[in-house]
Parts: sequence; C-alpha cells; structure tokens
Amino acid sequence: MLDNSEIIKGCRMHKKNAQQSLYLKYNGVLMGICIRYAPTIEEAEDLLQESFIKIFSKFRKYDKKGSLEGWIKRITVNLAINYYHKHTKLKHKVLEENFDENMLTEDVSNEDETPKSIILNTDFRKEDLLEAMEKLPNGYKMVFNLYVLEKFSHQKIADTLHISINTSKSQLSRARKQLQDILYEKCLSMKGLNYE
Amino acid sequence: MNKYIDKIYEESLKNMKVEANDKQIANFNTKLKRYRFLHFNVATFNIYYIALSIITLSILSYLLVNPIADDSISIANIHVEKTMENIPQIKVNNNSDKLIINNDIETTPNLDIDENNISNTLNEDNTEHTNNTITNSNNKIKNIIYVRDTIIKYEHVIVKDTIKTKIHKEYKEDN
Repeated sequence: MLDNSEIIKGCRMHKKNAQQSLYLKYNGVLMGICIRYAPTIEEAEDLLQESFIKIFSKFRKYDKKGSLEGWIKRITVNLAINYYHKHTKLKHKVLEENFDENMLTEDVSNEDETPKSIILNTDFRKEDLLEAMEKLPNGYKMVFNLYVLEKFSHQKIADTLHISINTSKSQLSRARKQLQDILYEKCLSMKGLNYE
Repeated sequence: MNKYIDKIYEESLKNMKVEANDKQIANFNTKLKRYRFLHFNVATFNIYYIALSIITLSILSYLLVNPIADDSISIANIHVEKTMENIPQIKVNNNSDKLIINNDIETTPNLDIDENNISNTLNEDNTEHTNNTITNSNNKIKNIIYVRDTIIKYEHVIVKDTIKTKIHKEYKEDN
C-alpha cells in the first residue's frame, strides 16, 4: 500500500491506485464516523462513498498543513451535517426548544447513583453504544455527536445546525439523559440474562 | 449531570473503525470507476475546448490580417487579367472593311455567332458568288469560327459582350 505522501501526490494527479489506496487505508475510520450520523448501515455506506468522491474532487485544495486524516474526517463530518440538513429539515423545526437552566439542576438532584455506577461498571460493546445512540431523535443524536465526539462548542453547533445555543444545550442534556436510561436498561437486561 | 456518558462514548467511538467488507469494496470500486469516467470526460472536454478555442482564435487572427474578401478580389483580378491577356486583339483594317485579329487574321465579323448563321452565310456565298468569292467566304467563316471559339473558350459573359460590342461598334464606325 502507498504511504501518505504517495497517496496525496497520486490523488492530486487523479491516479486510480492512489485513490484506491486512500480508500483502503481510511474507509474504516470514515465509516466509523458515517455510522454515527446515518440512521442505517446502508445510508452510512452511501455517505461513506459520497465522502470519498468529495475528497477526490477536492484533493487539489488540500494544503498539507494539517494531517490528511484530520482533513478527510472534516470533509466527512461536513457531509454528514449536510445529509442531516437534507433529511431532517422538518423535524429540525419541531425540535427547536428553550434550554431550561433548571434542567441541569434537576438532572443532578435526581441523579441516581445506582444507574451511573452500574453503567460505569459495565463493559459495553461498540454495537451496544451505537444501538443506544440510534434510538435518540435525530436532533439529539446530532448535537451529542458534534459536542462529545467532534468537540464542537455550543456556539458552533448552533451555527452549524441553525439552532439557538439554548436548543443545543437542551438537546445535549436530553440526549445524555436518554442514553443513560437506554444503557441502564441494557445493563439490567444483561444482568437479568446472566442471573438466569 | 450525566457527563460520564460522554466519556464512555468518547473512549469507545471516537476512533472507531469499521472496516469495509468485500461487497462494500466492490461497490466502492464501481462508484470510483463511474467517477473517474465522468472526471475523465470533463478533463477531455476541457482539453478539446481549449484546443478549439486556440484554433478558432488563430483563424480569426489570420482572417483579421488577411481578409477573405481581399483575397477573393485579388484572385478574381488575376483571373480577369489572365483572361484579358488571352483575348484576341481586334483592330480595324483602315484599308478594307475587315477586322484584324491578333495582327494576323482578317475577318468580317458576324455579330450572331452560331452554327445556323455560319451555315446560312456559307449557303449564300456558295450560291451568289464566284469561286474567288467562295474562297473568301470560307476564310471569313474560318475567322468567324475562330472568334467564336475564342469567346467560348473563356466562357465569360462580360468578355463575350465586350468583344461583341467592340466588334459591332468598330464595324459600324468603319461602315
């Protein structure tokens, strides 16, 4: 397989072997991103292929200042955001809501240590975590992904998704709460199975 | 707050890799092939477009310096000049009622140059004149045919008309 400098040089010259090498080297990483954003595996695969085509067509703009992996990840995340806009435009408006500062307090005050400790003591598979995330509404999932995994600020999320900062905060908080509930249920069911 | 959820997800999914299976790789190769085909066509189109533009500009530049109209006129002029060079010179012999063609042949012009007229002239000459007259008439016919052939050879209406008019005018003035 070609190394990164050869891949960059080849892709800029529109060489087939370089494009194939890029795919073989990074499809796993990018699929990991796509699968977090797309609702189904099939859509994640489509998103992945579109990402690579986008990367090939934009390769001349790659300035080599950042890492190649970082650059292609950014393109994929941006494409996923566009995908989200295209497919959840109507739902998006419904999800617009105000962030209540008490929500955090409520979460903290009502936080049961048992679910937290149980969840923390459970070794979840990636599939379980993805499955739990799949159960979130699109808006929650998007905000959670961008904030937790892409390290976007609430301001940037608000700008990217065209929502208010409060909505971003609110959706993140609800996403966490829902994930906790889903994972807790998962833990209980796993333990129940174990007891049997 | 449930921030520990963030930590669980970050640790597990941040650098998650899901390697493609053979089917996905095959699908990608098909997509890549299509993309490369389209990209190739666009590139080729651009090359042709640039080449066509260069050729068009070259032609336009050439035409700007050497207009077609001038060339046509020049060619036409040369043709006319060459044609005129070959037109028999016709002069009036002051000592007789005949025309001199190319300082060589003398003739009495017949303005309606065609076969019927030649035949009629021949018949008239044969019936009304002596042998000497017949010889003269034959010479005259030969000269007329020469003029006709010369005119037909160049097949130019203007030239024919010019010759005919010139012959007609000079013959009239002479008589």
